[in-house]
Amino acid sequence: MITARLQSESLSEPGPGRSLWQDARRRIRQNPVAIVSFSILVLVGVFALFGPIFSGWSSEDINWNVLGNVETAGRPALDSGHYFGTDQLGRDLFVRTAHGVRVSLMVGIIGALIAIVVGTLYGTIAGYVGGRVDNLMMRTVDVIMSIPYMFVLIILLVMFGQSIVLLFVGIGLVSWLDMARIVRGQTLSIKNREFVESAIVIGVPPALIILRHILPNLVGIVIVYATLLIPNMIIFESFISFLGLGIQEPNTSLGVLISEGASQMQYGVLWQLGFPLFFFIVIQFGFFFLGDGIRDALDPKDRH
Amino acid sequence: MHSTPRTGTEEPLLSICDLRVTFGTPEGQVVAVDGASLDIHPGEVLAVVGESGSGKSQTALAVTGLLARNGTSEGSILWKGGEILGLPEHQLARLRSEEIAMVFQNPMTCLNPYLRISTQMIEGMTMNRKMTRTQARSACIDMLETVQIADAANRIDRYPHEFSGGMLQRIMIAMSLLRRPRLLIADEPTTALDVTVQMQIVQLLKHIRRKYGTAIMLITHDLGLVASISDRISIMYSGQIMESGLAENVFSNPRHPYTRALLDAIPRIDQNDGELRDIAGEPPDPASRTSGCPFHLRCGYRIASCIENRPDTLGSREHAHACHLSNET
Amino acid sequence: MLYFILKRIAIAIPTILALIVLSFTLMHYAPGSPFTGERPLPPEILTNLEAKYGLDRPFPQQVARYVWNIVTEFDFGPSYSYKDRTVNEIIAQGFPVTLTYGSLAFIVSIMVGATLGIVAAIHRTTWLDSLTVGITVGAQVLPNFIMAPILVLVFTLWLGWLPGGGWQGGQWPYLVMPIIALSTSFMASIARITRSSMIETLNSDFILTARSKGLPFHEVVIRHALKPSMLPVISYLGPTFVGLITGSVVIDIYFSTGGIGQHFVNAAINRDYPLIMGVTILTGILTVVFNLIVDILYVWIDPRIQY
Ligand SMILES: Nc1ncnc2c1ncn2[C@@H]1O[C@H](COP(=O)(O)OP(=O)(O)OP(=O)(O)O)[C@@H](O)[C@H]1O
Ligand SMILES: [Mg+2]
Repeated sequence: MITARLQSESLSEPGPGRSLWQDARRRIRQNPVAIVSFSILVLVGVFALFGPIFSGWSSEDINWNVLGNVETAGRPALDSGHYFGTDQLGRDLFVRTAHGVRVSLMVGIIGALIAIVVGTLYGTIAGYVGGRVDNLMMRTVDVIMSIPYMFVLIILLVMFGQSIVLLFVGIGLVSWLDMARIVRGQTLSIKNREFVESAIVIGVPPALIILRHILPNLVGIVIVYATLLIPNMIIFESFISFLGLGIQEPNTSLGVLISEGASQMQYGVLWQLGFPLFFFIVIQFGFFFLGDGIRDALDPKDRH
Repeated sequence: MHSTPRTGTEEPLLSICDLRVTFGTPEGQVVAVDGASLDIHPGEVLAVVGESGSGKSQTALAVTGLLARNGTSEGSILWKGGEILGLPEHQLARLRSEEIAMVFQNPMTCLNPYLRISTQMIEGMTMNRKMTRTQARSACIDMLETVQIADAANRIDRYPHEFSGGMLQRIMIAMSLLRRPRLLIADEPTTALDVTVQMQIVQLLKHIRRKYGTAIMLITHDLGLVASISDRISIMYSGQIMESGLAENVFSNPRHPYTRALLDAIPRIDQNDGELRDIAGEPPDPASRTSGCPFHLRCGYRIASCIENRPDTLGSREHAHACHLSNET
Repeated sequence: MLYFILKRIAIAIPTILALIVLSFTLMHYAPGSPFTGERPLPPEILTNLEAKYGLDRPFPQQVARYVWNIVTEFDFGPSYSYKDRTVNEIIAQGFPVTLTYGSLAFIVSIMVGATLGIVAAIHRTTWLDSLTVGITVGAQVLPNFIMAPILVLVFTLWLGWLPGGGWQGGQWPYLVMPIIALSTSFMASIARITRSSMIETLNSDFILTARSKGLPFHEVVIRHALKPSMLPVISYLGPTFVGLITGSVVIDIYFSTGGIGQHFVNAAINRDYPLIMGVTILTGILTVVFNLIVDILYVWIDPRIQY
C-alpha cells in the first residue's frame, strides 16, 4: 500500500519539438474556420496569379468603345469580356483587380518578411545578451515607436521618389518594432530554460545556442505574428496608395483601385469600388481567422 | 484544550447532504464532488482533509454559490435548517456578506494589487452595516491588531505587495472577520506559506474561535497541521467522504485504509527512517469516474465488492466511515 | 512619483530635439531641397529663407538656428508653396480642425470600445458576447480609408442625410462621418483588448475574494476589475494616438476638412520642406508628450511599478 516515492514524475512530461507541431497540425485540421480561411486565401492567390489568363484584356489595354460611356458600356458583364467591368479609363477591372491583389499580397508578404528578419535578429540579440545592451536596444525601440512613422515614410517617399522598393523598405523597417519586442520577450523566457542554461554551462558558443535552441523555439510565435503582420502591411500599403503616394501607374494595388473606385462612386459605377473592396476585405478576414486558428493550435490553453 | 465536544443534538449551522458538483467542459463532464455529506455545528472546527483535486475547494465554493460558470451543484445544503442551494444570487451575496466568510489559499493573489488594504477592508462594511467610513476604518484597524499586525493604523493604507505572505493571510483573515460571520471557511490558508508561518496562522484561527465563537471549516491536505485545532475531521477522496468523526477518534482509531495512509504519510521526527512516505499511485481522474469505492485502485486491502459497489457510510457523528472491509468486520 | 515624472521628461526632451535635428538634416540633404537650390525658388522666399536660416553659413549653424527658432519662438519659418504665409499660420489654421475631430474620435474609440469589451466579457458565452465579438472582428478590417468611402456612399449618396465633406466651423453634421471613419478600427481594437483583459481579470483570485465578501457583481466589476483590466488599454493608447494622427491625413483629404493632414500631403507633393518639417515635428512633439502622459497614468494606476 505504501511505498517509497517514485521518481518518475519528471520523465513523463512530453518533450517539446515534434509532438508539439504534430499536435498543432492536428488541431488546425480540426478547426473549420482556419481551414476555410486558408482555402479562401489560396483561391485569392490563384485568382491573382492566373486570373488574367482567362481574360482577353491586359491591365493596360484601353477599351476605346467603352470610353466616355463607362456607366453603361463598362458594366460588369460576361459577354463584353469585362467580368468585373472597366475602370474610368476603359481598362478591364478583372485583370486590374488580379494585378492589384498580386501587388498587395506581394507587398504584404515581403514587408512582413523584412519585419520578421529584422525584428527577430534585433529581438534575439537584445534578449540573449541582456543587461545594458538589452536596455539600450529596447529603449531605442521605444523612441522610434513614438515617432509618427507614417509621416516619416511619406517624407522618404517624397524625397527619394516613389518606388516599390522604397515602399517595401519603408514598410518593413517601421514594422519590425513590434516583432522585436515580442521576440525579445520570448527569447528571455527561453534563455532561462534548463536546456539553454546547460548549453551555456557546457560552453557552446552563443551564435550556436541562438541558432540551435532559441530560433527553433521562436518559430511558433513568429508564424502567428506573421499572419497578423501580412494584412497589416496590406492596410499600410493601401493607405499610402490611397493617398496617391504609393504604387504608381501602370502598376496598381488594392489601395490604388479602392481609391480610384471611391473617387468615382457618385457616377453610378459602384463596381469600381465594390470588387477591389471585396478582395481587400476577404484577404483581411482570411488572414485574421487563419492567424487566430494558428494561435489556437499552438497555444490551446489560451482559449475556452 | 478543545471546547466541549458536540453531541449532535443541537441543530447544525451548516449541513451538506449528498452534494454533487459537476463541471461541463469541452472534453466532457467533470465530477468534482460526488455525493459528499458533512455538517458543522456552531463554534465547531471541522477539518476537511484530502489530496489535491479531491473536491475540497469545490465543496466550499458550492456552499457560498461561487462555483465557476460551468459548474452546477445538486443535493442539499442547509444553512441553519434552510435550503441555500439554488438561492438567487442576491440572497447568496447577502449570506456571504453577513454569515459565511471565506479565506483562500494564496494570499498573494487574493487581494487586489491595485487597491489599498484599507479600501478593500472598508468596502462592504460601509455598504451593509450603516457605518461611517471613520467608524469602519477604526474597526478595521482594531481587527488588524487582533490578528497581530503591528502598526496597523499606518499600514492599513499600504498596498498588498508591501506585505509578506504570512501578513497578507492575517489581513485576509481579519478582513473575513470584520462582518462577524457565523462560519469561516478557510481553504488551505497555510499551503502557500512557510512552515514556520503555517503554525502561526493555525494559532490565530484557534484564537479567533475562542474570541468570537466562529465555526471554522478548515480545508487542508495536511492532516498533521490540523491535529491541534480541529474538533472533527472529514477525510475526502475523489469527491467523496471516506471517513469522518471526532478528531481524537480519527487520529487514534482510523478505520479507512486511506485515512491510515494519510496518517502514515505525516512526516514524524521520531520515526525518521530517511524516506518520505507517500501513497502510491495517482488519485482517479475526476473526468472519468469508476464504479465502486474510488480508492480501490490504490488500496492494499481491496476485495471484490470494492470494485463493484460503492460502500455505504456507516457510523455516527462521532465516527463514521465508508469502507467495505471495515463494514464487514 | 515626482522623480519619475522628471526622469521621463528628461528622456522626452532629447527625443524631441533629436527629432528636430534629424528632420532638418534629412531635409538639408534631400534631393531637390531648396537649401541646395536645385529648383528655382521665387526670390521673395529665397530672401526669407536666407534671413531665417543663414543659408550661407555652415550647416551646424543652420541646424542650431532652426532648433533655436523652434525652441524659443516656436517658429517653423516660411512656407514656400503658400508664398505669403508662414508655416505657423498654416498650422494655426489647420491644427484646430484636426484636433477637434481627432480628439472626439479618440474619446469615441475609448468609450465605445471599452464599453463593448466590458459588456462582452461580463456576458461571456451569451449571444451578447458573440455579437460584440462579431462586430469588433468586422470593424477591425475596416481602416479609415475604407470606412470613409463606405460612409459617404451610404449617408450621402444613398440616404442624403449627411454632407459628404467640408467643415463649416465644425458643425456636427460635418463631424459625424470623420469621427466614425477615424474611430471604427481603433474602437474595435480597444474592444477586443478590453474584453480579453476583463475576462482574465474576472478569473483572478482577488475577484473571488471580492465576491466572497458579498459585494454585488456590478460592484465587483466596477471596484475591482475595471482598473486592472484597463491597463492593457492604456498601453494601447499610445499606438492609438499615433494611428489617429496618421489617419487624420486620410480624413482631411477625403472629407476636405482643411485640417493639418491635407496641408501635409500637399506640402509633401509640392516639396514644401519647411511645412513638412513643421507638421512632422509638431506631431512628433505631441506624440512624445502624449506617451509621457500615458506612462504617468500607468504608474499612477499600478502601485507595484517601481520608479
Ligand atoms: N471550472 C472547472 N471546470 C472543470 N473542472 C474543474 C473546474 N474547477 C475545478 N475543477 C476540477 O474539480 C476537481 C476538484 O477540484 P478542487 O478545487 O475542489 O480540488 P481541491 O481538493 O481543492 O484540491 P487542491 O488541494 O489542489 O486545492 C479538480 O480535478 C479540478 O480539475
Ligand atoms: Mg483547493
